[in-house]
Formats: sequence, structure tokens, C-alpha cells
Amino acid sequence: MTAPVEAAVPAGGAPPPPGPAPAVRVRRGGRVKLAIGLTVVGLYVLVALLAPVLRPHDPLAQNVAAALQGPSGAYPLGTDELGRDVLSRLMSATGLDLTVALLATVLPCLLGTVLGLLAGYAGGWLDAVVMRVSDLLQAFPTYILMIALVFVLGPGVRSLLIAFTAVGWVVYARLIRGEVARIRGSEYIVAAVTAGLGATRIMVRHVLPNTLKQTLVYLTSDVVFAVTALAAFSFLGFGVQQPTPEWGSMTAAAQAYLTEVPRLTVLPGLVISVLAFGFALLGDGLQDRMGRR
Amino acid sequence: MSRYGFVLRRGISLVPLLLGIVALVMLLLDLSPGDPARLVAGPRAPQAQVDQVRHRLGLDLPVWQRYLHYVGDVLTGHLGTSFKTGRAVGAQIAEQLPVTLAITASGVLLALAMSVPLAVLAARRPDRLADHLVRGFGVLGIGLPTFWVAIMAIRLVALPTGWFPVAGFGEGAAEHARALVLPALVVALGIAAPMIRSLRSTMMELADAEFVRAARTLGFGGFGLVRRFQLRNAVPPLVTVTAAQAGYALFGTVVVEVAFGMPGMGLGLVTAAGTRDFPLVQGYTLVFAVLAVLLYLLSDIVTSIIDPRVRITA
Repeated sequence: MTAPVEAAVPAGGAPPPPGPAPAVRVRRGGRVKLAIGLTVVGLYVLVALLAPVLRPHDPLAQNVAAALQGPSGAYPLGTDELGRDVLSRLMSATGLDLTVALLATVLPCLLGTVLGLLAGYAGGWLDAVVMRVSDLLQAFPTYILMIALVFVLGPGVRSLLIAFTAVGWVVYARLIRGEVARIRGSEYIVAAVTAGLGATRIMVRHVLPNTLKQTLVYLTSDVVFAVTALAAFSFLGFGVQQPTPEWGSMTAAAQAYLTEVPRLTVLPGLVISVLAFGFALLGDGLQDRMGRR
Repeated sequence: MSRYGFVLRRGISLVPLLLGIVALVMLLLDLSPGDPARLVAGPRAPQAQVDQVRHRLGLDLPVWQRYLHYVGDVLTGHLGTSFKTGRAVGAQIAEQLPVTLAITASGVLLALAMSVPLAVLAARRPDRLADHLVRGFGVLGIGLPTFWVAIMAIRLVALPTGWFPVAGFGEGAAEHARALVLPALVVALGIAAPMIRSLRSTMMELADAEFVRAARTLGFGGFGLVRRFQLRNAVPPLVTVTAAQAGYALFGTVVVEVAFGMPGMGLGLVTAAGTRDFPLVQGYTLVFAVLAVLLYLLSDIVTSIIDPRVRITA
């Protein structure tokens, strides 16, 4: 998981054109985006928390006699090929998809931050090893490597999270290492060292705060990718396994009934897309408010 | 430095990276929890067979010897044989490679074809309606899951119109081309957003550049100005983003091949993973990684042709 644009475009390519866009308007736009994004994500969190209470049926209960039914009072969104209630399954999947997507975003960030700090501060062979490994990982097509890793570790959520972490830390490590290198010689760090502050304290109090903004930018774009990538891995059969309800694997199972019951494929995809847009708006709004442009 | 010298040097500088990739792919086997030989032989194989597999794969050798053997095998094109079919991995991949290359390449070209006009349009009047529409389109590409877009394209376009095959790659050039349309579109939509965003901001930056302002005072205007002064200078960063996005397009291709049932490396990889066919998965991973490295080399070459300064500074 990398944030492709920010990671890929060297200094010359990307931002930030001052442009004629009035700052005030951007701020206000940011607020609207932020509000919509927060509402969407908040709704999903609410559904995830309340799913056990709200869902009309047991998401795993099969009723083959009632398979592939259209929406009705008993089954508001109809039933799937095994007669399971689609609404209940979509709701139950929310908690799993949200949790895994968030973990798949946060874990690489944590590992990358630690490795970046160590590499930047310690330098020497540790730095060399971390940087060479990250070169190697960046050269690999990210998701292909993740497929290989999940294959080796066996499909499932745990393997997926390991794969996300093993591949996704690179961007964060490079960011933090760069920051450490940049401020190493600066006066206030020298002052802090002279004052007798320990390395850990300098790192946590003086280096990390400087990287917070950029880290947040990466995090908010990574979480959008994590939502769709997680579903994609499950769709391909590497992620969450049947019969556990998960949006991607629900789509994969329903593809066989695409002609007769398109609803079964349309719904999970919509649910994923709306969450992804929610996170995208949230991230955009945050960046606007922080004054990206 | 001459153009060929530059390309040669770039190519040579990639050798350590390629060696690292080969090492990583080889070590994948060692990452598996438990005994790799057991993994390869299958869970129900008798111990004697497991030991035999261990010896056959050279897993009883020290790791550096295994590495040298593996590098030698890869260099001579021996990627092992499939457990399930007994076919040579290299032969199978060679058969599927054209399909994957065709989908990825047409997807990337299509993404370029949509990005350039859209970004130019958006950059002409920032923060106006067209700009917002274009940016909205970009967000659409990021938020919609590729596998779902692919299935929707089958349901909403291929099935009702009958213009495009619902699955497969067909026979002969005409059918191939028809089969490529929807997959390429889906791949393109998935990767276009960062290209649009990057080109848009480059164009906006260039609109303020001194030489563009000078050209404007000299009487250049309209599309001629955009094309001759802005677009030409926006190409090198666009190439860089495109190369990075082409790397992502490889995964889009995997997803699209599975959704459309196209006989490429992506479908092969997913199928091989499903049957726990280790040499095949290893082979696919290696070839995909090498493709990505070649992409970067290609983007370096293209950049050096467009912008000769690169050859001096790099």
C-alpha cells in the first residue's frame, strides 16, 4: 500500500500550484467535504457497531427454499444463492471490512515510522539495510507481491494484514527518515541534545510532530486503497473466506448469478464504493483544512 | 553521454535490483510457516516423499548455494515445472504473457488518452465547473473497486449490447481487439486519477511560468500556446506518473483477467494460487516484478529522449 501519486512523483511533478483559487473558498469546500466524509464513515461505524442488534436475520442462516428471492418484507434486500438474507450479510460485513481496512492502514504506518526513525537516527548499516529493502519493495508491483505473500502464508485476514504491513511501511519509513536527516543538524535539535535530552525523547517530541501532516496525507489516501484492495483480495479468493460475510467475497460468489439476479453483485460493490468515497472526502477535506493548496 | 550509453548505464544499474527480486522470490518459500518441502509435497505426502522433494528442490543446501542455483535457473529460463500439470512454468507464462501485456498496455494508453484532454481542460480554468467535473471523475476512478467496475461493465455493456465478448480473449486479431475494449477501459479508469491530477497541476504551474507569459505577450494564445509551450514541458513528469501507474495497472490487469475470464498471467496466478502450485506462483511473481522493473527502465528511456538534460544529470 502506497499512496501512488505522492510516492511516485518526484519533486518536479506534483504540487502545489498557487493558482487563482481563493483560499477562503478552499477552506469552506474543505469543511463541506469533511462533513460529508465524516457522516458517511460515521454511519458505517454505527452500522458496524449495531449490526448484531439491527440485522433482521442471522447472516449465516441458510434457507435453500427461499434462495435468490427478490426484496420482500421478510428479506428487505432479498436472499442470496443459499437463501441467506443479503441485508444482514452486508451489515455484518461492515465491522470486518472497516476493522481490517483501518488496521491495514495503521499497521504499515506504525512499522514504517519505527523503522524510519531507527534508520534516520542510527544511520550506518541499519540505515543501509532499511533503505535497500525499501528500494526492493518499491520496485515490486505492490499488490502482486501481496498476492504472493498471502499465498505463502495461507489466505485469511491475518495473512492479509501481514502482507499489507510488510509491503506498505516503505512510504512512511522514507518520509520519517528524510525528516530525521533534514532536521538532524538544525539548531533546536543540537540544543535539545546539549540540554541532555535522550534520543527517544528527541524523536518523539521533536521529529515526529514535524512529520505528522504528511503522514496524515498518506494515511487518508491509503485507507481508501485499503478499502477497495481488501475487497479485491477477497474477490480473488485471498482474503476473507466463505461463509463469513465480506463485501468482496460476496461479489465473487454472486458473479455466477449476474444475469438473473444482478442485485447480488451490485449491492456489495455499492457499499464498498460509498465507504471509499466517504474516506476519500474525509481525507480531501482534512488536507484542504490543513492548507494543502 | 550518448543516448545508448545512458540506456546501457540505466540497464546495468538495475542489475542489483533484479538480483534482489530473484532473492525475494526465492525466499518466499522460506517465509511459509512450517516446512517448505512439506508445503510443496502436499499435506498428505509420506515423509519419504517430503525428503525427496527437499532434495530435489535443493532445500537441503545452504541458502547461498540455493540462491546461485536459482539465479542460474532463472538466467537460463528454467522456472521449474508446475506441480499440477507437469508443464514447464516458463512455457505456460510465455503463452499468457501477450494477453497480459495487451491488456496492461492498452489500459495505460487509454488512461493517457483520457488524462491529457481532461487535465488540459481542467487546468484552463481552475476551480470552475469543468475542473470540478474532471476532479470528480478522478475520484470516481479511485473509489470504485476495479473488480466491481469490471463486473458492471459485463452486466451493463457486454451483456445487453452484445458488442463485446462477455469472457475470454477470442481468436484472431479482430476478436482480440474486441475482447480488449472493456478490460482496457476498466484498467484505465482505475489508474487515470493520479495522472489527471498530476498533469493538471503541472499545467497550472506552467501557465504561470515566465516563458509561457512571454509567449503570450508575443501573441501566442489558445490551444497553440497550450500545446507548444505547456504540454510539451509537462510530458516528463507525466511519463513518471504514467510509469508508476502502469505498475498499478498490472494488478488491475490481474483483477480484470479474473472478472472477464481472460487467459493471461493474472488469471494464471490466481488459479495457481488456488491449487497451491508453488513453482507457478513463484514464476508469475518473478515475471510480474521484472515487468515492473522494465517499465521503469522504459520510462527512463522515454524521458531521456524527450528531455536530453536527464542524460547529463543522471
